Amino acid sequence: MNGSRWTIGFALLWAAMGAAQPGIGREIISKITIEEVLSIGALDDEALFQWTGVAADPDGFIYVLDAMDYSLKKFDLRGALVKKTGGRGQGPGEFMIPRLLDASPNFIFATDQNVAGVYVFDRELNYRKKILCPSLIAHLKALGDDRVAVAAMSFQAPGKILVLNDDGKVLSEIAYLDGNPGILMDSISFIPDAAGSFYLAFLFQDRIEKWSSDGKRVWSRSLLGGKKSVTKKISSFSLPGETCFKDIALDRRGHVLVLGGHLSEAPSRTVFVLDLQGDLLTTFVLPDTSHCLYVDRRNYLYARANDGVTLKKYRILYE
Amino acid sequence: MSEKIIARRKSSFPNAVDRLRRNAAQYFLLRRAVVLLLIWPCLLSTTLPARSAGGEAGICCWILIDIESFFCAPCLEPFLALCRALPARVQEEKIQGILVYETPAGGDRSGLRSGIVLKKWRAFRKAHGIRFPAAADAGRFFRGLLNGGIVVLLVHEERNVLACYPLPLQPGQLEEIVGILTGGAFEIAGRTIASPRPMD
Repeated sequence: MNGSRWTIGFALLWAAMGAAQPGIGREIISKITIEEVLSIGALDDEALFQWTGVAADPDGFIYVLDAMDYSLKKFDLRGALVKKTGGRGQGPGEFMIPRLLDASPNFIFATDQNVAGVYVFDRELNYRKKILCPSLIAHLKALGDDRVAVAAMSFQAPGKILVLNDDGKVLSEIAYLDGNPGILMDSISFIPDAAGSFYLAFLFQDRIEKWSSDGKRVWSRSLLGGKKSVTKKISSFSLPGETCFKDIALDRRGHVLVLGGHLSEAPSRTVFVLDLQGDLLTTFVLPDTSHCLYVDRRNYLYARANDGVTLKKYRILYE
Repeated sequence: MSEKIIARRKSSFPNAVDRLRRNAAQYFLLRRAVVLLLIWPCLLSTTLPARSAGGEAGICCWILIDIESFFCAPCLEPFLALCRALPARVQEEKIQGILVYETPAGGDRSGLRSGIVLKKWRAFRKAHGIRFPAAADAGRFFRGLLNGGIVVLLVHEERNVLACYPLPLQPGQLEEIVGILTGGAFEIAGRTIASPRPMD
């Protein structure tokens, strides 16, 4: 009797704590809407031309990679351009195909598509160093000032997330593939949480997964009813032609946000909202198509508009 | 194409399979050229300015650019090599770019898509030091003609399409295009054509 009382009491306390604490995925929400708070880049200005990656620092400054003028740009909280660096080239801090971006408290991490490494800039956009990587990089997230996680792009050993220190030493890895499903089928976007777990969205498979820091799959979900990407024959290769998902992010209230790809109801606009256990809570639709979804430390959501000429910043409203 | 040019290209296709490929490629190029000729009056009367270097044998160049090519390194490099090889004055006076892009199902009545495309071109042109102007293919005239990639058309002021070169160029074609646009005599379509004056 005493034992069951303790059990019930503990369960009630645990449930109450879970409901009250932000960030652990127990909040019940029925609807999410977004409200635009900032727009950077218009047709007649020189702010953005084709942005590819976005990140924000703890003070709210916004950093953007632009593939059309090969630059890394810094904007203030009102969207005014503060500084610009980069340029086309293969020298330190230059880009040929600028692609991925993330920020730690003090540094900005950027990739160039055909470079096996991560460029490190300080918050004033001074180039600091290059973190060498064993392979090209398909996705990048900063884990702190001195660590990054990258999805390695490798034909020999596909399907790995590597955690690197700032000298390029591999500290740990997660092998997330079962077998070899084919070219590009290992492509993912991922987001780490504070506990060291990783949430993965497969770009060409209807799979969203959570992996623990010790490399074990925690759960796996399908959100598109098992739809498959139609493959295209290019030369002698069969390549997936449609994306299932494009990006994944975590908000500050414990939800996983997954940007649907070509196969979602509103292609490249539908955002699936999951709790941390992988249960689908709701969806919402971005006003314009995006390739990217980013949530900053203040819980603002960033997405693309006007085919990369415009960056939109939204407040997330929960009901 | 002139006998010389065809003879030179034949030597680069030594076996039967390559010959078949070449015939197929020529068929598609011919088909594209026919489509272009059919829509030519429409183009001249609506969207595109006729550019000419002047003189009796003036030749200009149209470069059809699928905007997606900007994000494809194998497509982009041959294009940049061509731009680097063409003197600034030739680019400014003899070349017209045409930006081909996807438009929404309902069309682009607001002009938003063409505005986006032209903004991207502005940045791209500045980043690469390109001097020739480009127009957005808002009327979708070239959408069916250009199945991705970049194509160079040499056009005579008498309104004949003289040659069509899909990128990447075959060996010798870059020199051919640059030579024709910068002056000197060249045989195209059985005629000897000389630019009125060499251009630096």
